[in-house]
Amino acid sequence: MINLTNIQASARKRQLFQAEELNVHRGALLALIGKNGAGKSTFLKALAGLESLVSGQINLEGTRYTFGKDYFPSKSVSYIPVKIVPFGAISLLDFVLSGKSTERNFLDVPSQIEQQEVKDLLAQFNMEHMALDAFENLSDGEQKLALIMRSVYRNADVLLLDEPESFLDVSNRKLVFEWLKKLSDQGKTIIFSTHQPDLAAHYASGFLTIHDGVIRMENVSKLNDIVQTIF
Amino acid sequence: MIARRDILVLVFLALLSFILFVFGISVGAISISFGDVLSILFGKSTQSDTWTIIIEERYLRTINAFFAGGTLAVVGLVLQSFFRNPLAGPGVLGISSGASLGVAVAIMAPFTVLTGIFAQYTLGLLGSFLVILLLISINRWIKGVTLLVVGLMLSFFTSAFVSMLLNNSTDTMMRKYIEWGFGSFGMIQLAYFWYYILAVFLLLIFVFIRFPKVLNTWVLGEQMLLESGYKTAKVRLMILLVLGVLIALITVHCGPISFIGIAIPQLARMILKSTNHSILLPTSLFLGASLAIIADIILRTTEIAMPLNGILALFGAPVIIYVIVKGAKRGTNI
Repeated sequence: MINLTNIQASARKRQLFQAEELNVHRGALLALIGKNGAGKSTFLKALAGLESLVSGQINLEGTRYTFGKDYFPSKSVSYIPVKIVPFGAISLLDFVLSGKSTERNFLDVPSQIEQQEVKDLLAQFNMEHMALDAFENLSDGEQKLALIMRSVYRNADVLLLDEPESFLDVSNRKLVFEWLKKLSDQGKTIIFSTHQPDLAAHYASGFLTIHDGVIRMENVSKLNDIVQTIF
Repeated sequence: MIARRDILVLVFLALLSFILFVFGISVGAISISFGDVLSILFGKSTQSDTWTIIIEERYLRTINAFFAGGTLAVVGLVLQSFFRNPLAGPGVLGISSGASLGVAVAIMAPFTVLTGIFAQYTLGLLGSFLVILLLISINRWIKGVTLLVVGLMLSFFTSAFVSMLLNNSTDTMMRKYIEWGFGSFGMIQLAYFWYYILAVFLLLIFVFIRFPKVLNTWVLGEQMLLESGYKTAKVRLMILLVLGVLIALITVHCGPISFIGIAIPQLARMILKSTNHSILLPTSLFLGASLAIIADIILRTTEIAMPLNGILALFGAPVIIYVIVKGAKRGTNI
């Protein structure tokens, strides 16, 4: 469980959002909505320990941390950006394997077992035949799946995704969201920002909204009212 | 992942560079047989005349070529991954032009703070460190190709002062500076040589142990580096510092050597299938060392009056053009 208390985010002296208390349960699949510039990415990056714009306390699975001070949860929390552009022709297999790079010795050579694990993961999406293809040559949908696979492979308990539906066509969107749903059923806590509340409502267990400088938890059933007030 | 084929390539290149090393010592005005070279290398003494020639002429400069060439290639590879730009290299970032200004001051300045080769080393190192500090401080905002433009501007900036010094110097000083600028593995000062080689060797070991993992994640973007739990500010500082010291050391001892640092890493990436830096780095090392020794052998044994940087340009420029054209065909921007 993630418990946030007295959080506050500001950028360029302007307050973005605040909340007195927020609780995210294990296995939740939350859609984060709000206008452009409301602070969605800021919130996700802060949860991943990447952003210093947020102050306040976080209780992650029983351990208390303070944002900007001692909160570096890289092992258990994974942030998945909209898109990455690697330098060089790194293969899909190597890309996913890089998720556990920090656990290896200085040569960073994955074992046969590790390679097999990733190949099995790829096989779930019928992507094993492209294991040695360069990441940059994959389609946007395949790249998105690879990004999520990398986080799953390194056993992150919390996945934070920035606009997972972006760049994806209808069938890939479905594939990605169905997988996220499955992962949350398996106990992963997932928060994703989105500009498509309708689509998200099919899969999400709840909504987080950023509106008028406040971040709140909302029920999925109230989606229409929420969308009306925010946009 | 490292392909088995790539390990064979690495072993082959390591052997090649060793053979070239022995060959480099063996050829010259007086040729020494391979057997003699080997027995000297392994500590058995032969006739004392041969020993003297080897020690003074070829042995040291071939060692110098091996380490300087190899290191420049390693540094170039790290810089390309670090800036995520295939055209980055020790010369392009202005670090060696900082060294050039320092050396120019040491050789030609009308005032003397320090004298002799010691001044050349100290001021050369100081000049490159100033550039490194500047690069570190602006790298937060300026990334990719723009940083290379900054490096280019720094070169113009420093060369303005160098040309001023050139204008006011005597012919002897000018000649000394220009010869340094041509680049050579033969400018050896015995008093400092082994310390310099030791420093380079230790830093290389540090690079080989500490850098591969970081770079493997770094090429995915700074976000992924942070996300994987690295402190990017620390990593950035470590990389720029270690590379800066290496470039400075090589440049003050061998002159501003161009092309090895850009072309060899490209070649290494082309030859290898793997993108893991733990094999890219040593491959670059042995390729760079081999090229440097070959260039030095050509310089010493033929009558062509071309300086080291000239020979390296003949090899390096086509490789770089090839990479750009290949990149353009694939649609990747440089």
